[in-house]
Amino acid sequence: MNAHAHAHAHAAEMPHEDPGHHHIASFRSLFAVLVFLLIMTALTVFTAKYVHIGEIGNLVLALIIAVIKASFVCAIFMHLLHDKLLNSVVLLLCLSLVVCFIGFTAIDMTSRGALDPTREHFIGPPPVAEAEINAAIEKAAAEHGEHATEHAGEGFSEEFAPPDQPDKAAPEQTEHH
Amino acid sequence: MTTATPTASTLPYHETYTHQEHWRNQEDEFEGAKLGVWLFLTTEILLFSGMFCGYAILRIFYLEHFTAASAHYLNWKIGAANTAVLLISSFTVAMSVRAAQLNKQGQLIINLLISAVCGVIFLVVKLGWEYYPKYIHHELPGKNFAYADHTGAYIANASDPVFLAIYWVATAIHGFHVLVGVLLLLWVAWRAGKRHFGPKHYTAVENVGLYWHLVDLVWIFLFPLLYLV
Repeated sequence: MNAHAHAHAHAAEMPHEDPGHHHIASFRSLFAVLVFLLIMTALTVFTAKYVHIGEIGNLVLALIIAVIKASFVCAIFMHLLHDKLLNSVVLLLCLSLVVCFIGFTAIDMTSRGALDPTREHFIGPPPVAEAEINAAIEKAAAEHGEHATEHAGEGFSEEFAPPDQPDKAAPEQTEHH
Repeated sequence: MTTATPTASTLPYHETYTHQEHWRNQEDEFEGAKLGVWLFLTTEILLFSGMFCGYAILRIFYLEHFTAASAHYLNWKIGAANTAVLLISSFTVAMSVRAAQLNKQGQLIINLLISAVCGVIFLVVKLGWEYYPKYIHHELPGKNFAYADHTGAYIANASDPVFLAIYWVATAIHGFHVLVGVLLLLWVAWRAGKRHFGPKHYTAVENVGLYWHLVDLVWIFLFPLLYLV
């Protein structure tokens, strides 16, 4: 009796010997997550197509929905919710480093001129080789037949039009944007 | 604890499996392997975050032009269909882990095979409906590239090859991960057919599953960033 009780207490203290005791996700919870993910996919398509809150607004909204979807995949499909905390810590540490990586790069990209106006021109889109790209568009137009030829030369939105060479720009160019 | 019994030879592999000598028990071996896979997944996240960082820089440079290029060059319906395919495959992979834990051998194999088939569908759609038409329409940046204004409805931007470059590189590296994932799923399914996995031993099912979910996670971010906004 005494020996049996001792053995029982000992067994309770012993760590598990194999993964047989691990949490088993229920079919209902897995299927619910799948349905939720599909609904969120439809939602992100809908918001991107029909809810216009500005370029940056739509970008942020799509990212928020993606983060919600990813959280459910990590928590339920990848079992982090019922897993050892260490695995979650590994993932979150990695993600925080990614946030530093992309975040600091974005701050640098957008604010270098604010710190030192003389260096602003070192960052930003590379200068456009207007002549080369116009030639490429005209070449493409020539290869694609007559229909394209009438549009050759108006291949740029106004931002890339050379301001000091109005003769090169197509007459309708100011209509775009 | 795992001493062999006279009937051991008739039992399936997952019942008689014993851990490697350098582990204390099967539980430690399983958790150690899983932690190793999680560490590997962090390196995968860092690999893809390089591409997301490149995307962020280019998006800061060409905010509106990327929206226009995305709408012109990419068909969101194809992207959405592939998203659904990957989400379903993630669900079936999670179901296969559950089947292994419950010792439902038939369900285990079927779920793994459905997941592999979903991966193949993803790749076929990508190659047949996206990469091949883009290649023949000169939409692959490089020597073969041509500014596509032949439809007349779309006004080309100088940044179009930049958008297409980030699209091709990000989706191709993701597609390579899908290909590797399909091969891993088939390997696990083949081992499941030999009754290698059960409630006490399903390390490979769990870890290949984790890898497959990561491939799904990357696509969850790539799809809206490339196809929608």
